[in-house]
Amino acid sequence: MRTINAICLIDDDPITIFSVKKLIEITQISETVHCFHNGHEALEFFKSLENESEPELILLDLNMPIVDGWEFMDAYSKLNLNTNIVIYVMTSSINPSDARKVEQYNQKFPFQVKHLIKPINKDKLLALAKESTTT
Amino acid sequence: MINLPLVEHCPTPMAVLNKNKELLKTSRGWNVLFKHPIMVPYNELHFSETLPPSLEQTRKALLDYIPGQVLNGEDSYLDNQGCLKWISYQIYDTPEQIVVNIQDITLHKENHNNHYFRNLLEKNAQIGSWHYDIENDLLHWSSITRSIYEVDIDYTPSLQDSFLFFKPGQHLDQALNAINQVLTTGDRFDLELQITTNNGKEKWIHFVGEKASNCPSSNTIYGTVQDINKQKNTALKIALQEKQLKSTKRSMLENKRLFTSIFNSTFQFTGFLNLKGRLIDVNKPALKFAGVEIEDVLNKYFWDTYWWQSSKKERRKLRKSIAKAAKGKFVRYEAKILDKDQVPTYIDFSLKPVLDENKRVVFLISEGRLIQEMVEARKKLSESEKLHRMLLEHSPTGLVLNDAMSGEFIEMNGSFKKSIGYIEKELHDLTHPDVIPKADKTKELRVLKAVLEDGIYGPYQGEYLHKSGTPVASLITRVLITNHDGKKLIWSVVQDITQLQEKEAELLELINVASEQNNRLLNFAHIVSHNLRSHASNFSMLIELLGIEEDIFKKVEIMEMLNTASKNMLETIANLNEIIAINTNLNIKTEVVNLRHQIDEAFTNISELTKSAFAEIEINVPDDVQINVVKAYLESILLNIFTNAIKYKSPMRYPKITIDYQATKGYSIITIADNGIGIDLEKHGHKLFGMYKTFHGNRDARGIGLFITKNQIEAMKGKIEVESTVDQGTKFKIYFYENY
Repeated sequence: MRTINAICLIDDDPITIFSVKKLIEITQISETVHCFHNGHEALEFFKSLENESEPELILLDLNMPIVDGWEFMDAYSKLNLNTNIVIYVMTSSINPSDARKVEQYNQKFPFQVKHLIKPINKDKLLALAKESTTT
Repeated sequence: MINLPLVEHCPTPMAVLNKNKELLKTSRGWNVLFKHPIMVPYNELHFSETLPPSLEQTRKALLDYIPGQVLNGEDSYLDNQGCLKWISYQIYDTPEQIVVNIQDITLHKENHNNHYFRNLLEKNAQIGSWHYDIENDLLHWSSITRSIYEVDIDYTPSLQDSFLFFKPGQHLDQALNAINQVLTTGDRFDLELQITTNNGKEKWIHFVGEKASNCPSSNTIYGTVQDINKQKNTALKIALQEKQLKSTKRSMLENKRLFTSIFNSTFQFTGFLNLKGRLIDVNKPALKFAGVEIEDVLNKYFWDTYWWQSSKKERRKLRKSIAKAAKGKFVRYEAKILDKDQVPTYIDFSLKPVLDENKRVVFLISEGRLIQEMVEARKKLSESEKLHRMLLEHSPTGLVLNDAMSGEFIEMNGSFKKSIGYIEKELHDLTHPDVIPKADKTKELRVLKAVLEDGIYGPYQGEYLHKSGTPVASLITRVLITNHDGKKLIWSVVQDITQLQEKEAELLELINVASEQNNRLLNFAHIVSHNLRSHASNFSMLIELLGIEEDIFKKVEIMEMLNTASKNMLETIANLNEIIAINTNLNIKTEVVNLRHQIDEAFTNISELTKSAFAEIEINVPDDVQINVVKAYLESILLNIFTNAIKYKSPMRYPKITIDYQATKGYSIITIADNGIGIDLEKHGHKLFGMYKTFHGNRDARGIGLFITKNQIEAMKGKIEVESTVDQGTKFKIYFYENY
């Protein structure tokens, strides 16, 4: 199985960061994980990327201080980076309006935006890794 | 000397007497004439005895005869059959004898008389005569006949020509038939026929003819002609008149029958009274109504009859009315009469005087019409009018009647008066435009025009002007009616909707509050689900890792994480509980506090913080401001805002907090301004007061403070507003509701 070159993990909750990072290590879907506590930090990272390979996948929390998930996506789209990237919006919300908004963003941007409902587990990670690497 | 035996055989009546006037001989002719047997000896016979007794004159002439004379005379007598006979006598004498010669002149005399009489008759009776000699075909017309035929006196008629005078057709036919008949059988005819005279005049004649009767073999037809034109025409006229009279009579009879049938079959009661008030006639319906017979009432004073026995008052009134009508006045009123069951019943009663050509009252016609239904209907009408008046007066909706043209007030109910604050008397001095606000006057003119055109306008929202000058919002419908004088009036249904509008505003406010609350609840539900779910998912992930991890040190690390997650969750639940408590107003106790005092106390509580940050504090709140609040909420609100002001201070300057106070309608407002880093409201404004929203990346930001603050303020029916400029500062405006 081909592994994902790098995963970008953006969440302000340290427990989520810890758990998801651990699960990525265990499932070995990627060797590299970049972690950020809010959208602002992540954007700084993407701006500073030069010849390094861009992550193929972003796991994005919505509710964060300074720059939240939505604001991150808006800003990210303006950086004109790799459009092959897949952004998974991680949320524990089952509010249908959030699901609708995710779909709107998917339509709006050239890159894919998908919904990933917490809790994250091994199976979910393996499934999304398989999807990303086969397409 | 006359030879006596010769005398005896002489056919002429002759008598010979001696000088002593003793009869010597009568001739055969004498004996035949006087029809007595020849008696012998004549000498014994006195001359006078040979004469019929009625020949007085002859006898006297003979007695008075003196010889030497010749006496001539005429005499008449009745023969033994009673026929009048005429004779002429001549007495003369010879030397020895006296001779009496008698000539029967009866025929001559009769002829003469007849002729005379005929002329007399013809002249006096204007009856013309004619006769026709068959043998010689000679027709003779008398002068009267000629004058009837209007021909000249020298006209010679012929039988042939005479027919030309008859009017062709049945008249001529009848004449021809009659003449033929009389010629052949001798039958008499007597006809009334029409002729056309020589002068072309048409006339009726009485045309009679017969064969001379005295002699069947006679060959003469005698006849008369009489001008009966006048009589005939008169007769015809009379006949015609008679016919007309008959038909008049018939039609009169018919009229009478008709009148009687109408008189008796109409539902109306009709009677005739003489001037004294006695009943001359009355129709059957009137009798039937009272159950009386004509004999019971005829020729009685009307007021004494059964009908009028309902009351003394009715009788008196009738009597007076009859007296009035007898003087020529028409009287009409509602009378109460008795029906056959003695039930008093109302009638429309009238007395009408009938006048002759000299305008004198001859008799009175009394008429009555049942109006029981009418009276009852009227009673019902008045009841329903009463009801309507009551409904009008007590209707909660204002009702007002104005003259469409002048605008004056005609009628209005209590609700209308109440809603515009005038009493009825004042309104009667005003007109419609006087109670319309100036701004609405053109609109009202348009409405008036529409009402006059379409008959109705509305409902529309308009305004009346209250006596106090304030406008009264009303829902108005205007309806055009035309009264019995043809006057145009407008009924207006005026519903005062001031209160309704107030209520509506209140309701709207309530709906707003409710929907806001609803939104908050929904929002809260999502918050709860989201926050609890995020903790749950953390637990789930950690437990999964715990199962996978084999390294004991790493397991301990995960356990610590679980401990943190558990603490976080408890904190979240505590926070949610707090929010619920605020929103459901549980354990809420309001009190009046001094605002200045509360602010001071809040700063005392955070004095360590302010001192270490070198914060400058300016409080411009008067000492005496008292507000009604939940004290704990106020403390929490003030602390939260003040600490935020220091927490988000600008790294470039010392913090400064300014607190101002103002009072507006219904609210006490405090304004807390800082000179901190500010916040981009365009970006974050919508989530500034949201739960678990943090903006600045501060490690100790929990994202709950402003959410709770807002909930507390709203729980006290206040509100919070924010103004901010990045890198300059933030200003919170807190409204405390006075009446909370």
